[in-house]
Amino acid sequence: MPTPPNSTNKRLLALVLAFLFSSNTYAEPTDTSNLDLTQASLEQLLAQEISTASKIARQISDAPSAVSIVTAEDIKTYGYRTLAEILSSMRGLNITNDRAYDFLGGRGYSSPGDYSGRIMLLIDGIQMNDNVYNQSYLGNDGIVDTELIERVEYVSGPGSVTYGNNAFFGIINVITKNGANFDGTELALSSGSYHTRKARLTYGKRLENNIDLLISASGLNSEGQSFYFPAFNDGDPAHQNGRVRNQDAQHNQRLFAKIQGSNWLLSTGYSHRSKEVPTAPYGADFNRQYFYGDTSKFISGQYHTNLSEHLKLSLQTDYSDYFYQGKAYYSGTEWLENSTGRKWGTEAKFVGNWFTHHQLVFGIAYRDDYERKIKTPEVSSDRERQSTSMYLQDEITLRNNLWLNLGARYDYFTDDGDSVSPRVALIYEPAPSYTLRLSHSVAHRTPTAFEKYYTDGSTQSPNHNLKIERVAATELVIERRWSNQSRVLATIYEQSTDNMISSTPYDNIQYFNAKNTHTNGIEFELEHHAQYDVHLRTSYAYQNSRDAEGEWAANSPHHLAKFNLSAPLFHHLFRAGLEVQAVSHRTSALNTKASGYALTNFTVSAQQILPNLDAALTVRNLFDKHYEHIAPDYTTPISVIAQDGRNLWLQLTYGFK
Amino acid sequence: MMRRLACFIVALIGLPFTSIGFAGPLPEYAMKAAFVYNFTLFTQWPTLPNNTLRICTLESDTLKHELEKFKDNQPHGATLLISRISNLDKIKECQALYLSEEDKKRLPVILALLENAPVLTITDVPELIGKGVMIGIKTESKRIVFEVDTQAAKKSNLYLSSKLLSLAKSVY
Repeated sequence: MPTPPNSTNKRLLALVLAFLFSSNTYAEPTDTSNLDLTQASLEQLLAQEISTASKIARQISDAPSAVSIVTAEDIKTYGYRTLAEILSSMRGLNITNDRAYDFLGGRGYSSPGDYSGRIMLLIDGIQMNDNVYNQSYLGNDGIVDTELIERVEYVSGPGSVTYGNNAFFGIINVITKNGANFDGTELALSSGSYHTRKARLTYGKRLENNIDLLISASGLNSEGQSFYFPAFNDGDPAHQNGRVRNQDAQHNQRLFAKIQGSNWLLSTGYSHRSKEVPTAPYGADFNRQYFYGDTSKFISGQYHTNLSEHLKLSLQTDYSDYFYQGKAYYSGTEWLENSTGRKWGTEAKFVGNWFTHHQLVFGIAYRDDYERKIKTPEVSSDRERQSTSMYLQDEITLRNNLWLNLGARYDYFTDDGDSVSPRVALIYEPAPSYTLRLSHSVAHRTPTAFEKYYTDGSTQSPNHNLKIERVAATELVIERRWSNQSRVLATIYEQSTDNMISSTPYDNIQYFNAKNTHTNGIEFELEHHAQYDVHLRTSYAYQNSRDAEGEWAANSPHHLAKFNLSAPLFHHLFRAGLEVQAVSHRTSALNTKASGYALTNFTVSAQQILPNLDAALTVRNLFDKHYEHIAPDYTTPISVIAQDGRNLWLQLTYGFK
Repeated sequence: MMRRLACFIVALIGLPFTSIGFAGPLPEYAMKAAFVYNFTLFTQWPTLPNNTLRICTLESDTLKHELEKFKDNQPHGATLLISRISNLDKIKECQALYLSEEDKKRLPVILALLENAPVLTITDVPELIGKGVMIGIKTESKRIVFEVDTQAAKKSNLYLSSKLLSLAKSVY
């Protein structure tokens, strides 16, 4: 439906105005009782409705580190459409977009174009990083719609003691909603800038026999934008003065289903995204078709049982695969490449409470990466590998307010050898509501199939001698919570890596184990739920990451500040969410500088604007700020990529009850 | 057009936040305090020392504040005391103990310290229900319901009236 953007905007404005003045559709809750609670009987109390106090979410992830949380309510309030947008709002995280993928940076590490495998992505406890590139898909290529997410927890710091390979700088734990959250069928239609349309249909229900069912399907189409890349304004007639049209479209389809009883869960998901890439990476022909397709699938089963009064068992088995297709043109000749990753894994985890002062967690895991295939006109490689892991943790209560957490995990890989990941943490509550956590932890990451075996015969060569990289971090976290309404967190850390996997510059890329890098930083976070339902979440992170030569790490900003404020408007008819994200300047490995920026987003949402109809309007980049992300080396000569200007997104959600 | 829309939205933020206090649904913590107080009415202790009934919280200020509104009531004809306990060694001096989210990590130690002393334990933390805490409070469809672990109460020599059990959502 190609309409001029201006007329779309006009219509959106008309809609907003219509919403504002249709306040008669809103029914004020009526005064039903003047119950004197001090005299009320239990029967009266049981019949009385309550208004739930708005509380700051508490972490589910059992980790003695700093945890930040974004809830379903935040997702709605701030209009987050992708996991990347959610993560951008969180303490110390930043996203780099190269118009193909979203790359996640955190804890000083943020190499653009280097896949996000150094932070592990878990969805309902299932590891989602693919096994060829170790990428976690965070944009429209992600496996789950944000509207299905109950909460996202970011656990910063090395987490290999629990999760093994890849939990290098942190863990992103995504927990999806249950069918009961929907209680019926929901249809969502959205429309936004760049001719983007999305439709989603979800059915969720808790059935009579307490079985909870959730099924959802969605599709997105976007025509994308036209771009101007000054680097290609070089007089070459084929480059059309650096202007690219019709090279930014993307389409995606998703399916997600989950069925669970009281102690078991089956879930499955599918996502396919195709994306036109306008930046002509790896020296491809500019202004010719360049295409990436990413398809992910998974199926997983989980079972929990009490083996005895003191021993709990959780079993999990999952299968997942990933398929990539790439198409480009070099000097007019078509180049096709693809890769396939398939794996299955199983884990048994025990929690033992035999002793009052000890909580023991131990388990064993096996994973078979039985296909890790890369196929280009220059290389055809398929390297399977298996891994076996075991772990043991003990949380010892030393005093009423002092705990010692000891743990270690051993992983053996058939191709890369073995690794031990220990952690020791001391948790102390000096006064009510204050918590101090001091920890030292070690994590590892094995080289990916891409880093070790990929070659295109010209710009990148393989390195079969790549070794496991390691990180060790020491961190002190101080947290104070009071009355479920406020939380302040401060953390100071220092970490160093050993054998960090890095690459030589484009166009002679080869991955190698670099010498030590060193990072230190401090982070603050404040959350407050004030009177009148006003919610504040804000954070600041300082990070300083240096390589062995003392050089500032590529694309690693020193300062990251986030600010999220939301409040009800017009007698709770609307909720407004204002978001500011500030990122200081960054430098690429090739010494290009991208200046710092502050991005402002604004969302106004309304529930039950008409019976069963919710609406939300998001304006991203409200002040139309021009800002750039550092481009990956392999998009040379493009060194920085301008990001989206002001853009709109309107979503209507109808619930069939 | 975009500029005007931006101005419009900025004007929206500038509007004073309004809120109307409505008395329909009652605040969660006031209700929870009322439940905690009512549970003590349906519980028989072997003795009430000095004819006092002490309800304790550990970390939760919110609930303590709400419970204090019941101070003039006299459950079982006894004087009602509301205390916040910071020293766990004193929890046996309580007749009822409310465990909040903050106390989660301490539960095994608390239960060990109580050693079946006649202290009625109550919680609203879902993870603690069914782990030796006697009464668990939950919110379901905007209403409060509760579950009772009679085994745990019996071990501690507390007698819970049949009326309480009949109003519970589940009893085990």
